[in-house]
Amino acid sequence: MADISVIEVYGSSWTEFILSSQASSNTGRYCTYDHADPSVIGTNYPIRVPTAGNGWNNTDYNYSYWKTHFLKITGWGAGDTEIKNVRWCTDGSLGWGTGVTLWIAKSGNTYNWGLPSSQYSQATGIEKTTGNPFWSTVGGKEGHPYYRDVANCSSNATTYDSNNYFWVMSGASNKITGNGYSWGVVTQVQVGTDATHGLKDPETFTWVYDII
Amino acid sequence: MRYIEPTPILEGEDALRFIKELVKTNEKITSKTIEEVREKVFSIKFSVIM
Repeated sequence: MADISVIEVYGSSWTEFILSSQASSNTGRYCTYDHADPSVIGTNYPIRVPTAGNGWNNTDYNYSYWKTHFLKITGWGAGDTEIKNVRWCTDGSLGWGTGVTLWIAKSGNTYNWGLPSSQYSQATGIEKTTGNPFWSTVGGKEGHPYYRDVANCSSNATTYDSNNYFWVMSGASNKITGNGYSWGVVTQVQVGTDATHGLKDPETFTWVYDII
Repeated sequence: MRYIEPTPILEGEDALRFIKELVKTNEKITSKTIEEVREKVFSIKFSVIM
């Protein structure tokens, strides 16, 4: 059996936190702090529910810090030679109440919407208030360098479900044949004025891949 | 896979042998596909604090 996990990466360079593997399972948490471990985040870094015009950059919205996830491959089962068709989805809806949207970053290419691991970039924003949206080109509040200058680089993540996968990487040129990382998925929560405070119940997001 | 010479007309035992070869070949292809490609799934939970 191949040794594969889903990791969240944070920090100025690259720090890994295992969200799911054969040995462990953790519940991630969207918040306004650049960290992946929910026991460190606690309830100290909420996204502030904005009043009209007082959100990020005087809009009606505040944001979590964006999150970056990858498949990590550290071992191969006997006879396994490659991983391909890496894809991601939600269950089609979000149960975090009114005014809450999950955005996913895309690079604009139909079959390669993920983030090359070499393009990882630390999330930015104001702790305990708001993250900068990954698509932002506002000076001093810039978003993700890999995505922010791409037209239509964001989609509502719940449009991707098991009938309409978000293709992280696909095709012969993007197969994985050794230890390392898949391309990544960048997501971010948006909170509007009608959202309600509190720690919300977990939602499930799914990674799927083919191993050959 | 053994190469089968094209035969314009097959009758009786020849036809039966040809069909058996064809079935055997298809079985091999099907079992190989199932064995070699396996779909794997990771489900991960996320909450949000606001």
